[in-house]
Amino acid sequence: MASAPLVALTGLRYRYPTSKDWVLRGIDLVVERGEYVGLVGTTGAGKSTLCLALNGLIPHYTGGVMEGEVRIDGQDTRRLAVADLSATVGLVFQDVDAQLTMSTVEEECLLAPLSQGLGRREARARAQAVLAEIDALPLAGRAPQTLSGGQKQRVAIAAVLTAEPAMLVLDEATSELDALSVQRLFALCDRLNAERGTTILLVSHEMELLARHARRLLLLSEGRLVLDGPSCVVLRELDVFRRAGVRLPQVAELADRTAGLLPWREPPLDEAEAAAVLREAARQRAAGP
Amino acid sequence: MTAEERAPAGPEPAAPAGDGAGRAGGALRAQAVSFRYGRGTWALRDVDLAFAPGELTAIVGNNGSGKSTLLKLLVGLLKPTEGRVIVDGVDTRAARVSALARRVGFIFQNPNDQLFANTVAEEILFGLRNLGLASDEIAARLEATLAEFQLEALRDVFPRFLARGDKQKVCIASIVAMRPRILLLDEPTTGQDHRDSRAILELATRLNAAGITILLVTHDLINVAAYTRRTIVLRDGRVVRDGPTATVMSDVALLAACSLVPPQIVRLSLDVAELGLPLALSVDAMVEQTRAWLAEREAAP
Repeated sequence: MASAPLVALTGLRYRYPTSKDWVLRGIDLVVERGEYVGLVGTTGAGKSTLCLALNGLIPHYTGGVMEGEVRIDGQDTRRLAVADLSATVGLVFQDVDAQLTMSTVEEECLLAPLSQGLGRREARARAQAVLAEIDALPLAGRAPQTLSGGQKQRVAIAAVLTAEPAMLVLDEATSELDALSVQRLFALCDRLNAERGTTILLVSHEMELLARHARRLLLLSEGRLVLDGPSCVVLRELDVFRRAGVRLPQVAELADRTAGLLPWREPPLDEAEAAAVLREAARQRAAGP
Repeated sequence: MTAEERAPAGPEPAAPAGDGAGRAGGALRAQAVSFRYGRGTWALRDVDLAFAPGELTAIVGNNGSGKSTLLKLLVGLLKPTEGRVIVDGVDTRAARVSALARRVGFIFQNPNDQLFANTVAEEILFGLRNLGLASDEIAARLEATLAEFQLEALRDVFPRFLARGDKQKVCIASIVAMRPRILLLDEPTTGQDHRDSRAILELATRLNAAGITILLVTHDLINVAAYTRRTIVLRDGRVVRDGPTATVMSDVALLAACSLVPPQIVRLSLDVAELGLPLALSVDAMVEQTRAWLAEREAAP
């Protein structure tokens, strides 16, 4: 089934054992290999739940009621073990403490390659390479529990990357990182996507970075996907974002609010595109009517 | 009132005029403050800061820069290893925390660290009872606080069952009920979505307009730029910049050296400075300035 999409959700509904209401209320979503997707929504919209469904933790570990279907690489997640799925979908949790279990950072990063059957030497080489890539090599000998929040997040990301998953899912994995580390992480995702073809799904409140890096944006509101499309198209829907309680990137909001005044053709994805439009307006005015 | 009316685009003096004389408190001062945990490395070195009553100031910096330590020193939870902290004339080393609590309110980063009572009303009553107020005064303040924060419908709810934004609101309400003159907020918008973040900042602005001195520790520079007038930048336990928010936000090199990035609208504004648009600290400001800029060019011959 080489033609099956990497992710295919059909009518996915889910509620936790402790909740009365559905957290996901009918999600239809297809993500092809090599896509770079941003997922946004307010707290409680169902973003984390959706991420958990992608690697089988829902329903295997959470219980609750799941309706509809989740297919990863063509296979129904109900019939796959989480361990098998983790080689395909690497998920970094919002709560890193739930993820780090080993006594040193290096062991944490050896877990996946060893369980994939690599020899110790190969596994170590892979772990070291990944740690170097996210500036965490000096932490290799440290106990994860002794690290700061930002360091833990970097280690959790490294541990997931050592499995070389076809898809990387980061669920608000940047909340403890400083601004420059967040930018570096987005740049790393760009590189994985461009060089290895890794499919990326980023859940984040960093709207400016998502607009610039992700090519497709999903807006989740109260368990439903209310927007799904190329970033430059989705970012036109200011009212839908407002109603969902999610802010737009600042330059996209500027474009919307100066729509009749400045020569915008589509919402700018970064400040360079916005600056070009302002300069164009200045030239037009200088040239006269 | 929009953010821009509070946060003008141009530079302004770092501190409002006046030393607070004749007002009901709200002044805060750190004099040559250094602090270390036990015999460890210094978390703060040689910090000199003064806050006049009614200021709204942001303290920003990377993880480990000393922001939270500074806040805990200013509220008297920690005592300086060297130097002193003066809250409305009271040296924190000499004062009991309970005495300081009347003057300075502290809002924890994680509401779960603060909430413990069985109902929202009990949460608010706890602090009021500790102040030793008369029972009718306590009852009156409870009702006024529930009304002010629109918490009437939630008064009998178990606070930990509330949504994150509402939990934060209860925390702030329970502190504000004690009528402190100074309010310190530690990362109040971390982990909150846009709607809740904005609500907290609007609330802080309203309390500030009512005369409460506010210090905000945050790494959310979009809100710092839009809402605060003064910004202090910490790096490795030292104050590396203290000035008008507009000036600090324009110093991209300094911010980068502290692993900080100015908001996108500020970066855009700096990028197109040659067009004659004034510096904008928020989208609201940029929209207004763009309108004015276009109108000017329209009018020019």
